[in-house]
Amino acid sequence: MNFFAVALQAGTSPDINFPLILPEMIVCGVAVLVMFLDAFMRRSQRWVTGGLSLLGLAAGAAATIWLWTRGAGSLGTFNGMIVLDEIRLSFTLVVIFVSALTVLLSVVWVEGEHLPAGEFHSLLLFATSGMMLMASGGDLVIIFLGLEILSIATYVMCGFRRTDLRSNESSLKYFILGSFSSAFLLYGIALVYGATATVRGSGVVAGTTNIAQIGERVMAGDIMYPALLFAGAAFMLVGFGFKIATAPFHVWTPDVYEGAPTPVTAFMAAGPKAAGFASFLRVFIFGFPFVGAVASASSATNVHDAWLHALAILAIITMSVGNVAAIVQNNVKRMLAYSSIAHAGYALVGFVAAGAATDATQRADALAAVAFYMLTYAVMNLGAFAVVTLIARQNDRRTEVEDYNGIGFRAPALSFTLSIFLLSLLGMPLTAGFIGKVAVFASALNVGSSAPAASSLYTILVVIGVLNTAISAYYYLRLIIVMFFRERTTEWAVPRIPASMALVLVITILGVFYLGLFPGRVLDAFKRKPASGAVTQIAR
Amino acid sequence: MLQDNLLTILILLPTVGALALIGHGLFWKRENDYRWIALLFSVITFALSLLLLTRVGENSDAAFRFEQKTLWIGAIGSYYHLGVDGMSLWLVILTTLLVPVSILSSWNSIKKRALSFYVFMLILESAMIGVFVSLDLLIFYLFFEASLVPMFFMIGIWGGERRIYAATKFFIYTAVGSLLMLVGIIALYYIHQQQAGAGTFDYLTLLDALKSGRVVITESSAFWIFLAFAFAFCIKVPLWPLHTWLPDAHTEAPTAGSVILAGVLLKMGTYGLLRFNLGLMPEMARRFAPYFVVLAIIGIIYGALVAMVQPDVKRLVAYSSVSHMGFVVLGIFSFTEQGMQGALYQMLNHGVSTGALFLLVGMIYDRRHTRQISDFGGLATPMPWFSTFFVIASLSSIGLPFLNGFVGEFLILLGTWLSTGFSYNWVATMIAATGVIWAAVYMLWMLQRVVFGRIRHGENARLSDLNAREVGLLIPLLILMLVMGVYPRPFLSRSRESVVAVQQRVTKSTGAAGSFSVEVQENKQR
Amino acid sequence: MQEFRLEAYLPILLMFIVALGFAAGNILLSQLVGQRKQTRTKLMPYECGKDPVGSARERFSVKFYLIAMIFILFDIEVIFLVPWAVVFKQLAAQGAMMRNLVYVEMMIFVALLLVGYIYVVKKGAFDWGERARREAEAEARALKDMQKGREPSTNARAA
Repeated sequence: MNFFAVALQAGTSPDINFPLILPEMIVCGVAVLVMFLDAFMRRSQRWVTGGLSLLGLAAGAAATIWLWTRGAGSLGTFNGMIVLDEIRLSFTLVVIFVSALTVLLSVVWVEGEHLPAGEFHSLLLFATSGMMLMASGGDLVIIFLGLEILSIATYVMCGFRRTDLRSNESSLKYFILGSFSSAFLLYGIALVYGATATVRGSGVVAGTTNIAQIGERVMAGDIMYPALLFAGAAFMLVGFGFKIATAPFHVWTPDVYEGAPTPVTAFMAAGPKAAGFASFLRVFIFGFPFVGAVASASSATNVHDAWLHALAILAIITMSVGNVAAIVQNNVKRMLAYSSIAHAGYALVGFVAAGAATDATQRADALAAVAFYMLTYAVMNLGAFAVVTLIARQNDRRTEVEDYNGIGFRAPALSFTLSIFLLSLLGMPLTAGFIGKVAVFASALNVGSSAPAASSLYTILVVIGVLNTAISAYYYLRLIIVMFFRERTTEWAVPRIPASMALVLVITILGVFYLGLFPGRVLDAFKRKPASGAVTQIAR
Repeated sequence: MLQDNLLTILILLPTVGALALIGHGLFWKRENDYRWIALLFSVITFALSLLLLTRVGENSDAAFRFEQKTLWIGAIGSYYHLGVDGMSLWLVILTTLLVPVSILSSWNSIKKRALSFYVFMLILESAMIGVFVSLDLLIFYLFFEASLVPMFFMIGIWGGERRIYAATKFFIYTAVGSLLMLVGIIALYYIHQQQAGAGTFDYLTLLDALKSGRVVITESSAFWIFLAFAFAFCIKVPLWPLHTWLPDAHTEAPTAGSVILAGVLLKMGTYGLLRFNLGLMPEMARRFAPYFVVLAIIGIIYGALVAMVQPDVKRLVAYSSVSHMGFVVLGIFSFTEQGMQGALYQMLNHGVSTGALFLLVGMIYDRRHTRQISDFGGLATPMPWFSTFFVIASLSSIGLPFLNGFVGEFLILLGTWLSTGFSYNWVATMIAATGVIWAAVYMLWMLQRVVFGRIRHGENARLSDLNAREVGLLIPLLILMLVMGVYPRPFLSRSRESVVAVQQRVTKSTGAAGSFSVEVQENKQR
Repeated sequence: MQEFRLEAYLPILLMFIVALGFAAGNILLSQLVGQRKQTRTKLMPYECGKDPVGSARERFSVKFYLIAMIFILFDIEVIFLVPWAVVFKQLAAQGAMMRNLVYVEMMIFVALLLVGYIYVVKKGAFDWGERARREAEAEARALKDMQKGREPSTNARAA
């Protein structure tokens, strides 16, 4: 619903709270600034744009934390188009973290590939602002807007190595299939808008795209076209499913990830996936909420059951397809692409748990678990891709598994860090991946234990997740085996690790162990509600 | 101070050693120092672990000593909770003993990438100690899994011909099992949350709640949770038919790796069965006992028969492990004090004897670069010291009276005979007892072909005998074999109350047959 | 229904005048100020930027697409001004805060357009390239030489 139209109709003072979108504004503004500076910059000064981007992201993160701890006076603004809750804040932080690491990852890389750094950084920041909007949108339209900002920037970034055919292919494929999925999402939004028209008093009230209002109307059970609601929800499921790469909407992932420049792949696997989860969660959990024992066989219970079961099945398919297909890959980037599909499946387990939660605490736990999972995935995934970037050299030439043959003791630092990331992706204890998996699986079992009737469903979901983890051991270990247990026969020069790259590796390694050993603080923080009301001090 | 944090120190010290090694490697790069640093740290750890004996005295009760409890992850409700009782005490000490021994055994044989080898060894030691002393299920799982990685690298990097296959198989087998256990652990957490208000991973809290009946695991849940735990542990033990990773892993691993694998890693499985399966779900343990007994007996006989026909000495010892660990499982599921004490004792025996056997096999492999039985023969002439040790270790493995193996196996068989946990216990005992005979057959036959007889290959005549280092590292094991065979009291009396507590829990838990506990009382008086 | 008053259409008349003036003014201005460099290409009959004679299956310079895209971008963005202008009065009537807000927002929008424009200029999207300019100049010189009756110094046909 157009904000100004509301303002026109209402004729009251507008519901505007700019501090609430401070992080988005900062990142967007810095993106414009970077673009502008880039126009005046000489080629030798590319680190300036990188540095500026980092500063901007840091400011955005600071603003997010400020929103979280101090609050901005209300929990929503622009008539509910922007909301302020722990999902938004936690995912925003994840997304900013991913972008910041991608900047670090790319500083030297752009140099080496002779690419325009400023453009890359501004595109990255635009994509970030899109992702932040996806996390903060309380309205389907805002979410779509964020999605498009993100997607368009990512399409370009995929094809950033203009002279490389694989990169072109990746970009074009992503563009065509991405537009296709956006259309699905948009159509779903339109259908939901149509479906949620309702009768109030004597007249018909038009539909809504506001998620909270959709939720209310669905709960009340007085929407005019329940059948359309199902169709709309299904279309949106497909649209979001594409963005987070759930099977069977995953087919674009391997090709796009393989062809895109490695730092971009790292970014895409971690950032847009997290943002996609943020809005996916918000739309389905708050838009089509669980209503427990209310109103038997109302449209609300039906639509909730429908998407919950659909997602449970999707989670199973996604985990299995991702892991099984990853086993047969011979390209490391492709393998990590399939592994990212599998990880989307694990996170979906938490999603299902959040959807099935019967009380607010359980739901908050499950939502925090998914956000935490995305954070852990971002950390280990970016770390792994950092090493892959280093080993790939210019033009992403060395990305086959054979290129890793026997490099273990030639470049022990790189190989051991990569092994740690792989073990973390596998979910070995003491690493972030383990706690992430425990968190999502635990939330599913938690829901199962409090809903005895359906408990076997959740147990099965978790058991399949666990068995998939075991399958994944095979391909993660394969890379370790190739690196350490084989001998290299051909010449191989140890890649030099530039300072920015070293910083990325140090941050991600520390992150992997910090989240693996002391995840408590982060988990608690992700569950914390933002300070509401006036700007008040949080009691500590 | 030292005493209060002893367990933490024991866990961290090897890791600190590993970090020190890495630091040393980064700055000095002196290849010859690595082994000394590793040895230093492992010996200190061993010395410190002996301090555990100060609080777990003879005839001490079943309570946990050296307890430490700090909140680890508040959001999940997991505590860093450590403690040692009579059951874990000796396993910890066995671990800390075997690590320096295996470091010594790799003194000259690990030449390439020595730094990484010792780093992995020390990290492995931390993980192994952690497994035996953790009292929080999540922490236990953490160490249980963490022990996989260094071993995986050790087999894969320093192993034999088929090391990649063996390492992958080892990792995936064990990971599958333990991941299912993770599901079981989380399920227990939420069962406790459902019934007692707050979820917990804490072993003692769970045990208390279950004992007092505040928390009752429904039968179907208990069934699956028990299976999840049992699956993980049985792969680790390994119980027939889940044993197939073991011969490969043992054979391909470097000597030190085999020693640690056989000596400690396998015990994690039986320890887990004893501590968690029996402790937390005694009814299910009773229900499943007949199946376990049958599988254990099949394992005993099968392991022995297969060992007999192995042409490779190391593989023979590996299969003998399957057989011996079958005895341990049999003892555990006899649910009698004798049987379970025997099982615990047999774990230690197996660690010592099989460890020694692997060390000896490694020593001749270093000299001859072959392990085929047919390549040897008549080693007694050129290598008298070696042959003496080899014969003693083999006899101990067979279970000759006055050597450690006898005590363990005798107790287990006695316990099985007295057991009322399953019918036809005397049949089980008799079949299992033939396992001892088979052991004698394969071991003695192997000895005859390797140590005695004529020298059939010229190279063997020129083999040098054990040097001082090798004798030195075998002596402690040899002394242990004799002491444990002659004077088991200090060992058994320390573990007794803890074992009896578990046994009582199984036999007396709700729904136990009356005659069952009477029988147990009689046993105790005897 | 309001009474027909011709004065009401005064703005439209003004609009026409401004439009005419803008068009005529630009032509005049370029006639007066612009430099005249006669090249053979320029002297050719106008045919949408391509040779009027020869094969029709010719490849366009990629520049054309760029120009077209930039044109569409700016064109569409300017369209956003129209709805804003339509409701501005109504919104502005709601008080100073709303008025300022709506005004400032549009100014930010325009400023962003300007940033985009500057970016495009600096990135050289309107620059037909050093090489093209040099070729055009060479051609002009050649043309001048030809008019003076000499042989062309270089064979400078525009690529």
